[in-house]
Amino acid sequence: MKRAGFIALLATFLLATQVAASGDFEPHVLVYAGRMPGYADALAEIINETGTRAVVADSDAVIRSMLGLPQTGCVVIAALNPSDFVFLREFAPVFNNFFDSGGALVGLGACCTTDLESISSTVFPVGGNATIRGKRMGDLHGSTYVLSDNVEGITSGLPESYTVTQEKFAYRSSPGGPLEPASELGNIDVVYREVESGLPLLVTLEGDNGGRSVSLPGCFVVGVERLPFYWGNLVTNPEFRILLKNSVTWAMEGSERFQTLYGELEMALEEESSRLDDIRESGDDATEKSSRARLYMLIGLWAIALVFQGFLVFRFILPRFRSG
Amino acid sequence: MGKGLQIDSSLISIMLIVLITSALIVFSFAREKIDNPVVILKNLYPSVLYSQASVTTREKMVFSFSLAARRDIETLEIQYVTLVQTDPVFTGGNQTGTDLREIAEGISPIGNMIEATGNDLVPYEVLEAEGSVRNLSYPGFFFDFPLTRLFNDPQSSGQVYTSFLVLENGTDIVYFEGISDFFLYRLGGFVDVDLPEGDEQKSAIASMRIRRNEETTSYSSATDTPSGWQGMEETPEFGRAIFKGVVKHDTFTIDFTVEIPRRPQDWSAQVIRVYADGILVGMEVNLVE
Repeated sequence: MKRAGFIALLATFLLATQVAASGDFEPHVLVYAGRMPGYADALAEIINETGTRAVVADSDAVIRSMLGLPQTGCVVIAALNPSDFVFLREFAPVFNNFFDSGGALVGLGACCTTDLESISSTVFPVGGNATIRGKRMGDLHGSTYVLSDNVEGITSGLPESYTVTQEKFAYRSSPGGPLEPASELGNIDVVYREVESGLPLLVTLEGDNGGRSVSLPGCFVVGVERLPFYWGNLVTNPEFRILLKNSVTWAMEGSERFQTLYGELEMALEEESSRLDDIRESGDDATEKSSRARLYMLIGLWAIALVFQGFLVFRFILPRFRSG
Repeated sequence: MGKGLQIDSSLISIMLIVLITSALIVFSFAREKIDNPVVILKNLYPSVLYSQASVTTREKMVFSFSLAARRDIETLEIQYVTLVQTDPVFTGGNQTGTDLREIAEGISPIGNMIEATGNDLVPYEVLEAEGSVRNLSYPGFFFDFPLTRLFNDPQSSGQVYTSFLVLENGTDIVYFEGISDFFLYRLGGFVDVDLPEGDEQKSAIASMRIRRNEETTSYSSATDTPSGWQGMEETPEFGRAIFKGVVKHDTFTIDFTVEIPRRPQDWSAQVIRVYADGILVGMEVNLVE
């Protein structure tokens, strides 16, 4: 398993160097935290430590324009402000298409709740409609994560149990009790659970079409510095930093979309370029052909006019001169 | 004989002059250059966009664009981009740059896209543009990123931003973000809007016609598409109507009417570019209040 991971890493590195050498295209991770840009910056800083450049989507337009690019290896969605949900709901079909085409996504907090039903029932299959608040534990306020299903890459470098700063976490509740995450899109693993309730805190989804997602239904934080679940406390939490880096790397390495498109980027661009060149060339040819036809037609007319002129001269003018 | 020869030589001189002059005229005609291979015949658009909720106005919002070919063209492409005005977010938080282009490139999505898509094979385009509203002209730049069209699903065209327009307004700027499509919400998808019809997927384009000479292709957003019409999802991908084998004097028209439950908060814009054999030969910027 470790060997396979190493080979995947090596392949990604070779792909990156090959494309970068020819086209200067760098792979990137998009980080969207909506109206909490400081939080997005901090998450991006953590992701940069993986060696893949994180681009902070400080406006909806960055996600709208950059998501489809082949260099987009993964998207991290950490928006918590309800005013950002309008965009996320509207854009949900594109996120779903991205996943269906083999894309990689990591969703924190609200992504896993019914506030964003259109992605929490598909890409982030938690569908949280209820929450449990975190607890004060020494200096931290949060929940304790304990290992459930070991997924190579996600759990690397992490202890079996640790606490992550968060105000609360979301889960799927029903009259019959909490429901386990379920998806028709692929295989689900609950990697970490909350120590007391046993509810999922990290869920991985490997889509049948080659997409990968990581759902973190906790990680609810706020922008108020004096509160114990301020985002600044989450991003300095050492276990969370490892967890985020592992999640992004795991999702991106397994993303078929990224491996395929990024690997074939240069070829795709050359094809498109030559298609455009062909259009221009055929246009030039047609223009040349039409101007040549026009020239021949004019020469023909000119020749006819000369013959007619000769006829006039020899038939009418010369006889007059001779007779005069 | 001597007299005859004298007459013939003067005649020959005249004939030579006629020959040379006519040759010059013929070759000057042969080298005739057509400045623009197309001529825009019509460009109609509403000056103000009304939403359906506006009960006091019943104006039909008709968009109509028409052109004629002035020479044969192998591939004629009419590319629509629809943009909405919004507040710019600058990389690093603050506006930088001294001229408009530098300022525009400091806007977050534009700067990021320039960095991510800059290449020699399929480069992004920066075109000088000018729009006008109420007799006031706004010069600026239009940024287009063809890579986004290359790698996105055409069915996502209403959601994916491919182009940006930045205009100068005195010391301020007017900034637009846009999609490659004939209009907003062509495939429906109105979020948080209750449509009177109760169908969330209804298109903002009520009906559309694309004509080439006498040949018409009609599209409808009606639930039951009229016979001989096509559904709105059948309209050309990414707002790009492509015509092959165009001959001189062919005319092309794209007409559509719009009905929207919710209009953009500020201005919107429509940028129509015309490419003849891959070369940009016309661009119209329609600003709508």
